[in-house]
Amino acid sequence: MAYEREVSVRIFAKELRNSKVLYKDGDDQYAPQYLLTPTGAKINRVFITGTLTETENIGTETEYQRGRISDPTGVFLVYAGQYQPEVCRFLADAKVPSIVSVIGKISSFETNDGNVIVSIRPEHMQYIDPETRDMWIYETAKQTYERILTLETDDETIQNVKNHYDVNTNDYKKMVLDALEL
Amino acid sequence: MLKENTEKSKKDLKHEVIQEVMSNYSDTASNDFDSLSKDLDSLSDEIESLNTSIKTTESLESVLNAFDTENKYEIDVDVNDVDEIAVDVNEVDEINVDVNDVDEINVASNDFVDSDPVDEIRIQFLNSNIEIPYDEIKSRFDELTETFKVSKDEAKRCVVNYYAKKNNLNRNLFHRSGSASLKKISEINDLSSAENESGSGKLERTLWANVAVNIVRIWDNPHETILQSGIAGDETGIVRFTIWKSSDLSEVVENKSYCFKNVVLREWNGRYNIELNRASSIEELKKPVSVSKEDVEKIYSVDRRQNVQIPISDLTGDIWTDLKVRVLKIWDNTHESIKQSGVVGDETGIVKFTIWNTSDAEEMKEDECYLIKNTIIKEWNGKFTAEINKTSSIEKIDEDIKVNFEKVTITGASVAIQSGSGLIKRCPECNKVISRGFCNDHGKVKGVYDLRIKAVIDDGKETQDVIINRELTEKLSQTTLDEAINYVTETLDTDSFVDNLKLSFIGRYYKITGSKTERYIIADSVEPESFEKSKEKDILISLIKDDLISVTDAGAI
Repeated sequence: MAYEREVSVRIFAKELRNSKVLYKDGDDQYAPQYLLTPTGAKINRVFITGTLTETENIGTETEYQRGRISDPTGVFLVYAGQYQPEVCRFLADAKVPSIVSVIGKISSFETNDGNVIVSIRPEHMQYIDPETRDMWIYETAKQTYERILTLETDDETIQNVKNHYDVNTNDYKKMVLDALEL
Repeated sequence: MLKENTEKSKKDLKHEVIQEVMSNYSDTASNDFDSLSKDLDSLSDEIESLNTSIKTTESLESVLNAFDTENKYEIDVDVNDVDEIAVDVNEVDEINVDVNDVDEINVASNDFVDSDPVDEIRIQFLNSNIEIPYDEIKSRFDELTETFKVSKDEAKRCVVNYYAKKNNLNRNLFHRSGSASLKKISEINDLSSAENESGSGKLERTLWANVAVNIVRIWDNPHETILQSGIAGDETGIVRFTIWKSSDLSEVVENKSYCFKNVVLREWNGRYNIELNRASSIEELKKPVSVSKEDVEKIYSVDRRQNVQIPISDLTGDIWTDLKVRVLKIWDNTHESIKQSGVVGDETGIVKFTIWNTSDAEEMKEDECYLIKNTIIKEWNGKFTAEINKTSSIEKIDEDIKVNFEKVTITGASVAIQSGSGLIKRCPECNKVISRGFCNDHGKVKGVYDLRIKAVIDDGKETQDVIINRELTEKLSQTTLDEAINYVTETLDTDSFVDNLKLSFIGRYYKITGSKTERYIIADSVEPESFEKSKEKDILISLIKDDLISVTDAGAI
């Protein structure tokens, strides 16, 4: 099968934070890992924007940068270490606060009590203008709303979502609306 | 030791005679048949007596005497005469027999090739008055063959080159092969079929030959390392030939006859072609070599062929065809042997074209329509080029050909810049991107700088690879090509240029219009997508509000 690049899913911070279901497509050890979100997005890579509010080097021996990026619904956490040298460098010198966009892979780990903590391992991070962020909010709102509407149908493809999440779609509609009206 | 030397010297002498015979082959053709056959007879006697004398010689002195220059000179003179006859061979059957004798001697020379390579080397240098101890050569030779596992032929070559260099001798003198024999084209062509039948694959040893041929056709030169290439023939058949530029030979002319000496027979695609390299030589023959009418006809029929017109989408490689096209793009000329190159298209697709300098065709103009007759379609890596050569013609036509290639517009976020972006170098010949100064097709070349971006555009549903050309890249990066070159050459840092490009390009929205190819969109325009969606945003807001209210209402009821 030809290599196909993973699409960068548009998702708000709140939905990402509520995502708990990890799965793999196929048994192959190299099969990509996906995160199933409450609105039914199947994500491996994301494109997000927001305001970088805080950076911190949390590494002990080598540099390991953590950045907090806030969107209208919540906060994304991004972590960049030696394997993301460009982003690590960016975070080390980053202006705070500033508007940024990030393309990155989903990274997650399960805590002892079974909680799944989701963060972003950034591939690219850069400053953007407010207009680009506004476009992202509109685009993410639209695509999230489309997912919510699909969730309200009896489509077979979202059965898996319903098995894992008990979603009040109205909550997410309100989240989308708030993001748009902010 | 003395006896051994005598043995070797005998072989060497024999070898030398043969080499002289062959290397002087056919200077001029003479019609004076009688005097020639007399000369031939006397030469045969000479060779005979020489052979006998070698056989009977026991002492080193007499062998050395045989090397006497005067003696050699005598043979030289006669040999020339024999060669003259060899050219006429086809007309005179009797002499043919004699030439076969000469060939037999050539066969005998193969024994020489199989003998001790170390001693061969020693004798080769002894002939140039350089004495190298046998053991010294042997240890050098054995080191190569045993420690470094080099083949004997290669080891011999290395050792010869080493001593040639050490003694300031032209090493090519030593590699003029002794086993080059006069071959008919049919013999060369038979090599291919014989090999195919036996399935033995390539012959291990390089085959050398001398041929007397008429130049039937000289092709347009496709490559700067080639002086000339084309088709040569004799009465037994035709064969492709290539004269490498490195041979320092002078050019041959169509319809003239030449003797090519010391040519390499090289197998390519199951056929043997002849190649002329530095060790080869060319001599023009006054007496023309005839080529069979059928063979000539075979070549010229290609020129006169009535071609069918094929739509571009149906092109395949290695076919002659006519094309009716509109010229889309003329590229800057990158090569002296190319008159013009660019892209043409018809209703079904687009294809690259090249007009060789040797073509008499008029240059084409952008956006005009033409009928290209008898163009050869060359394929490389699944892509086609229509080549317009001497046999092709171009006619301007009044038809309005509409070129169909899909124009698309996409909008999305740029999420990646792929490797091969930024300041790149292209091959000056084929315009392909090269890496580390090496072109896949043309080897080491002096690259030409260019700027481009290979971007990935992602709208959240799918991704699309986009190629952004230099002009657009300059605009996006606000850096001209020259500035980029200066930046990179001053900082010696190609990465940081791309890093900066990434920081200014990735993670933003663009609207891109361009031509859709299988994998890429070749961008014609790349514009930052400005946020004109306030209206759409309002619509979305009211849509969601209505949705929520209806739910609330339903809940209230």
